[in-house]
Amino acid sequence: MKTAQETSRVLTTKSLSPAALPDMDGWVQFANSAEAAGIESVLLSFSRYEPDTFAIACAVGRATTKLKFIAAYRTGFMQPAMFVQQINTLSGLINGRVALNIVAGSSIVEQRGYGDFLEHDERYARADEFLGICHSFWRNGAEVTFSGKYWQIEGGRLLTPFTAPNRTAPEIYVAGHSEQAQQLALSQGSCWMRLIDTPEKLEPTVAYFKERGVEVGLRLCVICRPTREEAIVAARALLPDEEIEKQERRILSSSDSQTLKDALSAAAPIPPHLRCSAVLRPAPDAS
Amino acid sequence: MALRFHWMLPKAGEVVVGQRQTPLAAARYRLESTRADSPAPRPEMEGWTHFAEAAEQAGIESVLVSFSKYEPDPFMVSCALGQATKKLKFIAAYRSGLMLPTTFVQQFNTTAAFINGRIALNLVAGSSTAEQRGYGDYLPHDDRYARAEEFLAVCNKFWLAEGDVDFDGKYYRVEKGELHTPFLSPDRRTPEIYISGHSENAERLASAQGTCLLRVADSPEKLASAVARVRQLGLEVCLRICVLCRPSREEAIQVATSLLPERVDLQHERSATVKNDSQMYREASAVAEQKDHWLTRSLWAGLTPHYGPVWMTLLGTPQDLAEAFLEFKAIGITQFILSGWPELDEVVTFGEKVLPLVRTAERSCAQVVAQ
Repeated sequence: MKTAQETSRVLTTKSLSPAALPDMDGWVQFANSAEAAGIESVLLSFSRYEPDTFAIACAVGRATTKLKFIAAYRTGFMQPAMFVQQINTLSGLINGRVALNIVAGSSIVEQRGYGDFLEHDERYARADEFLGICHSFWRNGAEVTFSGKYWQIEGGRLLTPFTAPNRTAPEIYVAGHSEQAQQLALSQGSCWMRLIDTPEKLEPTVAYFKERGVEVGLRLCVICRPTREEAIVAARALLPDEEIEKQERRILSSSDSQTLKDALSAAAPIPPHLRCSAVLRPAPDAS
Repeated sequence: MALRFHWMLPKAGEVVVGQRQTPLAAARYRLESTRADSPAPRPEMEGWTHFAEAAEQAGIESVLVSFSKYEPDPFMVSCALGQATKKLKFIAAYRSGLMLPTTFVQQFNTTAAFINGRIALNLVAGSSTAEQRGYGDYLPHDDRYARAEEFLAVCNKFWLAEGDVDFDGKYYRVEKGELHTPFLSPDRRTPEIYISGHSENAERLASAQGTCLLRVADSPEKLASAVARVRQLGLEVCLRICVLCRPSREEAIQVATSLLPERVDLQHERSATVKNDSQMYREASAVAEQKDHWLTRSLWAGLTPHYGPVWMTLLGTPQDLAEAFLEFKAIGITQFILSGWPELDEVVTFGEKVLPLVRTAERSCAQVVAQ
């Protein structure tokens, strides 16, 4: 068992962290427990600090039978045709147990390290075109031709289909709190992923998405104990020391993600003992 | 150094456990694999695993996993099949220009970590213009090599870097690139990189960023000077060639000629396999027009005008084939990527009959040198 400090996000970004290396034994053990617990999918986050999500889904998916994989990927790093060929192949290898968590981007620094120099808003416009092309491939009819601002394609055709027992295209989770992220979820996604808030606050937005046929998924952490008091004690034990907290904040505030901005401002005025731990965990948008 | 032998990974669905293909059925399967109703685009682990075990058993070092719009993605295939095998390596083909190098390295390193570093890269600068455009790539042939060189330069920087990676080129720009997942392999710091192609551009790219030049076979006589030049640059040379081994030369010739299109109705697939704007295809097609298609006593180009240059065939008895490999070795060739009809039977024959002869000859040659 590891302590909160040992599993801190800050530590996983250090170059000597074991988080950078695939860990089949640990992952398969967790996957088996998750399957037994009735968990449908695991989210695989994407960052420069971690192994590639498609390869993980492939390897762990081959070692499991029911669990699905929501693979996070950032648009803009790959031609859409190439991307579709990879995820279609993956679906064929793990019986369709793969969904996508599409992320338009992360911090400017990290994006540039990937060779992507677009600004936040443009990244969403590009993601919209990207997913539009992907959907054309998944509709699997005529050849795909597209001439957009960010992508061009002429006579695109891929023979490897997306294979799943009950779908011809993957579920697409779009993460992000910004207006653009919401629009993208509505235009191209099947589910909008966001951080948790009170049901009261969430209600109107959720209703809006539901009317338009898009689900809403919440990202949150859980602590369950026999009594509420024990749960609170366990939660408090996770509070980081001052230095780690400072570093966490530095990582989060360097991002131009709206989700993280929202989360930071939501968390700041709240006394530390009530703060939602989700704020300081890898958020879906940071993946 | 002992010759290194690799094999083409059969198309998905080509190897069916418990069923035997005739050479003709295998040839037809491959030619028809670009059709929408072929099973080839769908990953098929059972047949692949069966083949991979036979290849390991036969002493084959790696399988080449090819890349095209007709086939599953080579990285995913290598990752899945690598977990079902222990020794076999994977030469994953990939076209530069379809992915940013940082992401590419992240995928490559992750795949390597799952399969104990048993992965190499076959970088192809591009294919036909039409297929490239279907992937969203509009660069002309010559620019594709310049871009591939930048691509591999960034990749090699990541593999060799001690700190952040910065690159400012014509095609790629990376600022403070950082990846924490390293390339891990028991004996290498960077993967082997095979560059395909016959053009000067391909040679230059291989010399700048690769470890091995991969080309279609020709007679040792014709290849000798080019191979010597490439070896001088510190590169290995690998030949792509089909093998057809039978107890007698006559039987081998009979099987080979039975694959000619006038003997069967395979003609209609010609356009799909031969149309290509690469230098390799033009050159190999020209070679195939010569004489009676016998480039040496065992090297036959009879199928290449119909099905493309990778159908260049080395045929004969185990002894004929072993001698031919050693002749190639004598001019500096170090590796081969083989293929046969069907792949499974031919790899078994190769492992049982041909490879032991090659190894024996190599050992006695080494003894002569030692004396």
